[in-house]
Amino acid sequence: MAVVFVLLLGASEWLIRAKIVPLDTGTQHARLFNESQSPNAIFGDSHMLKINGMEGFVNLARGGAGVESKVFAYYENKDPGKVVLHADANQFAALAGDAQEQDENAGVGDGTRFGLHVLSDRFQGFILAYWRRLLVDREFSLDSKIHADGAITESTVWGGAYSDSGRLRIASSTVALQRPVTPVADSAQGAAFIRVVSYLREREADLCLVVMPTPSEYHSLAEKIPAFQEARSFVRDVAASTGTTLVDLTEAEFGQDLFADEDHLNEIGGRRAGDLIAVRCFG
Amino acid sequence: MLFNTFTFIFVFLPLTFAAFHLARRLSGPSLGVTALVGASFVFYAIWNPPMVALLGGSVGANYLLSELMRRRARSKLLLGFGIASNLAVLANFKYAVFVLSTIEPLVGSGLNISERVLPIGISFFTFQQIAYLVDVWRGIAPRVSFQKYALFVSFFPQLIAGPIVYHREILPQYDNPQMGRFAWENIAIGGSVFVFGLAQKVLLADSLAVPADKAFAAVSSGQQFLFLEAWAGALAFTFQIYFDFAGYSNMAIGLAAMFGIRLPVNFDAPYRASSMIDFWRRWHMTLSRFLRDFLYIPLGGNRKGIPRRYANLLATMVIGGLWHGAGWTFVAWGGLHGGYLIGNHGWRVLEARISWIPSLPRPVAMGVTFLLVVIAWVFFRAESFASAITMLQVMSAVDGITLPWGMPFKPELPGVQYGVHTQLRVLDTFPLILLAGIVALLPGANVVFGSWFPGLDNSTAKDSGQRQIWRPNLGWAVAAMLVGSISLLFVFARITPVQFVYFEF
Repeated sequence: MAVVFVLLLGASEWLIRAKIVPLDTGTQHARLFNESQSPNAIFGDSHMLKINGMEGFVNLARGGAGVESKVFAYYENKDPGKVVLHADANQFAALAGDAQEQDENAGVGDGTRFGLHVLSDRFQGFILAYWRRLLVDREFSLDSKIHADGAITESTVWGGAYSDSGRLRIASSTVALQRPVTPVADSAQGAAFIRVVSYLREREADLCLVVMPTPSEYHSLAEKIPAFQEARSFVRDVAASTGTTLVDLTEAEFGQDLFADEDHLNEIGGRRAGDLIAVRCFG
Repeated sequence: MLFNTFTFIFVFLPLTFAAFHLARRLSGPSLGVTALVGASFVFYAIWNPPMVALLGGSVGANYLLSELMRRRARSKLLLGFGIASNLAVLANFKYAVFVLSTIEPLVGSGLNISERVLPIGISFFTFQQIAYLVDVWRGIAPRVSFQKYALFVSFFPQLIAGPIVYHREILPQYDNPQMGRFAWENIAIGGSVFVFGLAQKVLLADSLAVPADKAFAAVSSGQQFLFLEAWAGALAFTFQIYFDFAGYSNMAIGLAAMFGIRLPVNFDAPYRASSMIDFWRRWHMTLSRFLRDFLYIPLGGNRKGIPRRYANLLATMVIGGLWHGAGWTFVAWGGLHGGYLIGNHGWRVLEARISWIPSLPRPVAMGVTFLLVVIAWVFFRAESFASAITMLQVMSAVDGITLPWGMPFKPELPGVQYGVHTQLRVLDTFPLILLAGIVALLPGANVVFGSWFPGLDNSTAKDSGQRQIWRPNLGWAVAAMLVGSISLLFVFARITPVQFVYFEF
């Protein structure tokens, strides 16, 4: 039985190497993180991951992950150039605190343990899902598009499949999940934000803090919550006290057709955001 | 330690097996028994080392008491002391918090209520030892050495979740000089039954745990959920607990068989039952007979008239519910089953007395029985009485039926709405639940393995008329190897192993 089990593990390793790794955004992100020499980079969570088309930049944002140790690790052996840093209120949510607590550098490992993917935390828990996909769907595909600069985008348009009340319900649930912890200044997330900004300023980075746009349902709901206002005020204070540029894209024109879901830009929206950031931050 | 872990399967089991046979070869069955006792205590210690003192203390104290009782024949005082002491230990760990938190509102605050670690298997080894003491008092338990008694209580395959064994079933096996003699047949059959149970546990029960947990978590947190989601959650748990517990029991029987020891059959395809009386003859059979022998019959059983008989039934089932867990939901579960059994007995009386009452066709009777069992499981699994009621309200469609918005077709039906909220992704989980339902309706391991099944007294299998499927041949060996390996892959892919539901009892 042990022999057959080892053979199954071997087959799983082949499956991951042949079918999963080529589509694994994590592996590609790790490669970009470890191999890129560009001093210009974008850091943040899945909102920032959509920014694409900024010439000379690598997008090192990652869904659900904090940025602190990633910024420190990336610039450990190189001087920072132009840096775009996530400044959305949602990075101060409790959920983001969990991401901060985990070592984000785990997300930039090569996805193997002892050279094997099946033993890696990234793949081990998904082995059954991979086999199910192979045996039931018989194909592996990615809904997302991976750009050369590291951005990952979707081409879908938000809201088409839902009624007004359905969209509002989904947005409401996401806003509740992303509600910042208060007081923001005393939170671990707030402290991490200050450390990252201070570090990049000390390293003389051309730093730009960016607040990403959100669809109208999300925006109107978040505007009514004092915690979101406090988080934005906190970001403005940090920017002012450190002399850092702050660009708020919620004030720019982003129609419903530029979003992929209730809080993320789609491919075209991400491109438009990239164009605006290039001009407003570094133009 | 869990059976469905690599440490158990590839380290503990082979080492124990080697140690047992080496000891047996060096010094005969007696040293083999001692080796198994040692391994069983190590098995228990790996879960929580300090709790070994509790197990050891319980085994030692009960053995001493039984020896004392033999010298002072029929001393009710000693027996009462023994039962009370065992129940006091059980109550301290399992029921103290429940009792204190129940009476706190009555007496005002100030009671020191703190959660305690529940020693796994305490309900099982406590009941087993009480039964032994009672039989010593009755003068029908033979004298045994301390090692054999310790193994009778602590034998690792059945230590933490049963089957609950009687001394008369097990101790004579230890006295047999052939006990534990190495035989390839024991390995082949025991291993195959173990794999059967492992597959039930990791392929079915653990997969069903996902929708069941989601549904019951949703209801306890007050989230909105739909008619189909409620049914998916209730059915998922109904099959989860069966495959979890029956899987565990089969693993235990298979493991014991590898050591040449036979444990009693614990499950006999319970969801094929055509009445509640039938259900309790198929579900957790060793607990049913324990409750019958040591509770229902001593209470008077059916010897004191019909009202008293029904009261005894209700009391037995409520206590059986409390045995499963300290909480009002377990009381409700036991009470419901007590009510079901009373109704079932009453129906039988009516059938016998009134000629025009027709007997239900078997499929209908099975369906009704299954439905009643599902309703009771909702109380068993729900985190509170209120959550159970909410779940049952949605299942009963008293507020109308809301189907998932994502259904491929949405016919307009009276009382049917469509909602976007899909907590469970029910359309994904129903095929698994359906598959589990079909498997649950097939005969159990005791019938599949037929005369090869290494459980005690398998001749009483309800579906024994059905053809035995398993044969000791190469084809079945390959099948067992494949199923076992796939099960191991499932274990491997679940980085944190899921505990057996019954470990909490």
